[in-house]
Amino acid sequence: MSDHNQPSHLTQNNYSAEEISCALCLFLQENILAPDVEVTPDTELAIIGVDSFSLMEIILFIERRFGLILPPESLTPENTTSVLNLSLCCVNSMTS
Amino acid sequence: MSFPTEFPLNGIDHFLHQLDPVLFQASGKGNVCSFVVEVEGHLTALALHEYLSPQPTYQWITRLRLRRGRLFKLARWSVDVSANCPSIQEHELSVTGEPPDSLLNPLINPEQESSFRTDVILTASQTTIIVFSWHHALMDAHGAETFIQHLCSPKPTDNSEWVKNIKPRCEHSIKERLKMVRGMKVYLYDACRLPILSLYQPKPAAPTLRHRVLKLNEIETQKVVETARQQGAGFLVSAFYLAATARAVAYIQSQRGPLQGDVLVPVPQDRRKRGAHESLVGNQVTFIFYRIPQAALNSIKECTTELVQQITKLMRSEAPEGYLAMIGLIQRLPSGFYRWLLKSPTRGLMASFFYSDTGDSLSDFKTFYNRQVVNAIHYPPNAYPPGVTFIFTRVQGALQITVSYMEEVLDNEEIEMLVQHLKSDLLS
Repeated sequence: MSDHNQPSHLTQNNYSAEEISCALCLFLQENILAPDVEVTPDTELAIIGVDSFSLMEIILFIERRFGLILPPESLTPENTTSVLNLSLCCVNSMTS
Repeated sequence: MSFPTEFPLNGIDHFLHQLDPVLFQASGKGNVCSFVVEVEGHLTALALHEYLSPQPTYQWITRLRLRRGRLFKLARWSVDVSANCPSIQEHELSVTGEPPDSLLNPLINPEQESSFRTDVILTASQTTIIVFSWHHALMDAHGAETFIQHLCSPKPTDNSEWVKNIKPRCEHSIKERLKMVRGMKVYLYDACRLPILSLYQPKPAAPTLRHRVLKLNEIETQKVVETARQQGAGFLVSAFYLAATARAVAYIQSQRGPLQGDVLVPVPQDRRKRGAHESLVGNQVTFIFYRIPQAALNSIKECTTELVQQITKLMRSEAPEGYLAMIGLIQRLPSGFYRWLLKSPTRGLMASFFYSDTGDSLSDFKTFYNRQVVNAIHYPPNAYPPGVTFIFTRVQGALQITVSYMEEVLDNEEIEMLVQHLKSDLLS
């Protein structure tokens, strides 16, 4: 699966919501979505066909890329509607 | 639009083709799927034939014939240019008011005839039931839905990507693939160890296929989603469906005697890229094998949590990719040895039951050939053993469950108890 290894000099607290959004959009574009489907941080994920198994792949990507295991209770419908919401959820989990 | 004239079966297609003689030997039935669409108004077989037969995609699909593999050559689909589009026949409903069994599970020989067929039933209530059946080696349920919706949409789109086999999500070197295959083999032999919980009872006579469809309304469906979250499924609602299904099967088994063994269930996972209708032909799925310990069957929450943990663990270890790598590698084995290999881990029992969730692909399926869709139901090929298959579908926002079973495996009282237990868990 195409992704990037976590840079060794960064800890998980170094990432902003924008950086996470950018990485997630790239991961979606390269691994989950058909070539002509566009995704931005605000795109509603369900509308572009992201289902529960795809969401699981995104969660596992976050784990590999940012070293962050999101607690199940944080993965509410609201937090998983878009890349931006998911990124903000990641930032909240990092800081809490 | 140009179509390939010859292309090989992928590893999953080959697996499903090899299952055909195994199923036939045990039950006299083949590995054939059906999708039944009921529309408003009368639509004759002739009118449907005249509409479908000029369409290039339909002509291409119905002219594909399977050519057996030989040493160092994989089995292939090949276009028979001299073949005609299959005729569409009109039928009557059975005495139970359902499409006749012969239509829901026809025998299809993909080497000699079209692997896709269409039948029509005109009802007394001014609706038409259209039964689409296809050999499972040709396409999966999602591919068939895409094909059927494409054929009967007001403006069929021209998308050549539909006819291409998709590439694997990630490329691995041969060394990496061999490592994955070894890991998968160890995992499978462990997951499939006997005993496993099963309702299967071998009978000498040819088993009789039955279906039971459980339909929930939109409000009940929403409640199921909420219950799934409360029971620990999070966004993996399908894990909750599977937990409820496993518990219903275990409940029936417990009525017969003490439970023996864990639940083993292989679940297909769609590997298509999301957001576009791609890859029509070929089974674009992999399988995830779950083994639910007996102890976890005691409560729906425990069972759901167990499944969510297994999904996470298996996807983290790239088990779905490992299974694809393994099934692709053993595709070149001689057929007899291949089939022996399929049956050997469970000594032919295969699974506790089969399960599939087709997702939300039919949520917007409201019109078909300019007619209002009244109903749409998937009927699976029912593998025997184990003789019980569940399909979860969401049609126009409402959850629908098809239970296909052999009469010899579940009697009338048991199927009612099973459906009640399932519904009760889903709406608990």
